[in-house]
Amino acid sequence: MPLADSPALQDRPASPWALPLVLLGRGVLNACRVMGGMTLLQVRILRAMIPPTFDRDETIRQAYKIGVQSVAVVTLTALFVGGLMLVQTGPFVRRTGATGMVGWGTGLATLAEVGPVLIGLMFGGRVGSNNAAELGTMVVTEQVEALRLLGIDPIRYLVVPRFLSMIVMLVLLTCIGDLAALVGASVACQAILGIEVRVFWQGLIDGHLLDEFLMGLVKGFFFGGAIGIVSCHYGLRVTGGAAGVGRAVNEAVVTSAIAIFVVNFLVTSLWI
Amino acid sequence: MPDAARLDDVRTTLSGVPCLQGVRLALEAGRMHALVGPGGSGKTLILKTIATLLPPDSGTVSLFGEPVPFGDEDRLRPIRSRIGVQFQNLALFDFLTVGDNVALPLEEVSPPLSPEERDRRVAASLQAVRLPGGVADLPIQALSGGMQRRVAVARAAVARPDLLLFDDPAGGLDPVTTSRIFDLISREQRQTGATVVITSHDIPRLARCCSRFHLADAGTILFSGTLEDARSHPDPRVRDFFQEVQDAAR
Repeated sequence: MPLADSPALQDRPASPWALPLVLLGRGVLNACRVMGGMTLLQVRILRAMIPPTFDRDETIRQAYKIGVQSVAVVTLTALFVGGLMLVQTGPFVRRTGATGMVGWGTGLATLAEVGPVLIGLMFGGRVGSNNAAELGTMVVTEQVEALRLLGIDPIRYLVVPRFLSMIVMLVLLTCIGDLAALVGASVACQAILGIEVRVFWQGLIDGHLLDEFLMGLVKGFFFGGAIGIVSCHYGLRVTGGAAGVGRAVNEAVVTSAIAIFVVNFLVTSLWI
Repeated sequence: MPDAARLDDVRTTLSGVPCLQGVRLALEAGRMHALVGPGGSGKTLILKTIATLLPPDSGTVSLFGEPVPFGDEDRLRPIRSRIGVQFQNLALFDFLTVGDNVALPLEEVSPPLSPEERDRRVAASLQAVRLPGGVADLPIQALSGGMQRRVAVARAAVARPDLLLFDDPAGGLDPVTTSRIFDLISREQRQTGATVVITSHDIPRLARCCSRFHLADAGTILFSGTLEDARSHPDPRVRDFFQEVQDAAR
């Protein structure tokens, strides 16, 4: 039983400071428990990958489900994100007449920040929730216990293929999403600002944004890892049937989103 | 004959609730045992403890004459390879075909089986539970509930384990399919000589195949013995339980 939930603590006489302190303590303990659980899972994943004897068929199956089936939704999202970036920068470009900068400005924001973050959030919502629900259902229906009994390590058989697929596929999806966002921005550039698509792409190329593009891919790598750890952690610790699965999905999506923003801040800070 | 499994004063608490409260149980090897009791009496938890999946808070669990090293996955693996379990929820993998589900226990068999031998064992196992060979390539969802239960029985027995645990193998099934499943389990036990434990509420059918009954009640084992012993047991709770379920069955 968590310390904060213990009857001894609950029965203490009320004081003006008691409730906020108890709530704060409970929050800290919960955060420590979640962080500790995720760290342990990460260690177990790394241990299961040495030697690399994970299930190849399951990894390919997961990569298809996680990556290929996400291409359409990521492309569609990225197209509009790119267009939106242009809508936001449009008034500034009109005011200053800096049409040559529009490709560079949109590319900088899209490749380094907005693209990877929004694609990561979309990926966390679609893939992370699905993964937490799938693993949670497997726990509830005793499939994970069955694997243990059969001498098959659930981490090696279930978690490692998902974790690797998420990392690889989110990097690839970031590439596809970046391209789609820039296409969306260039089309919006022509349609909204009346600036030729050629001028947009020339500005982008002249901007030498390889560094920003690589930073976006590195973010995709870490976002994929974070979503993998978070969704597997919540999926594997489901208790209490369908309601527990629902809670796990909710927590996985919220924590994935928080993890994406934290990782984004850390990578950007270290990169620049 | 030595005991295939022995539980001594096993106590387990889950989420702060004491679930098993001093379970003492000995399962004589090579026999069919029935583990019965009212809902919530701890039957499934006892099975999971025997299956080495639920470490007790205190007490000792011995399998095949050796204490179970809970927490040591490497040492548990060879013990688990001698146990087959049909879970209450069946625990069939919906991303695998019927054949792959049944073949899963054979993946870790030592020495490894050739693909041909594995396929032969899977086909024989499906045939034993009266499923046509064609179902091996079907997804699990394509089968009815009764057929899925038979697949779960086939998977539990395919590696020819020394200890077979069936958690409500006929739950929710019609009487004809229920009889078939109990017959299949009996035949499997006769052929392999394995120790079998079945939990079920169907006392009349259990009486036809099991020689030992164990009555679980409120996280303990109230009674172990034959059905005749139960009927003349001094504890009225034991007599009443068996009488009531038999009356209900009539």
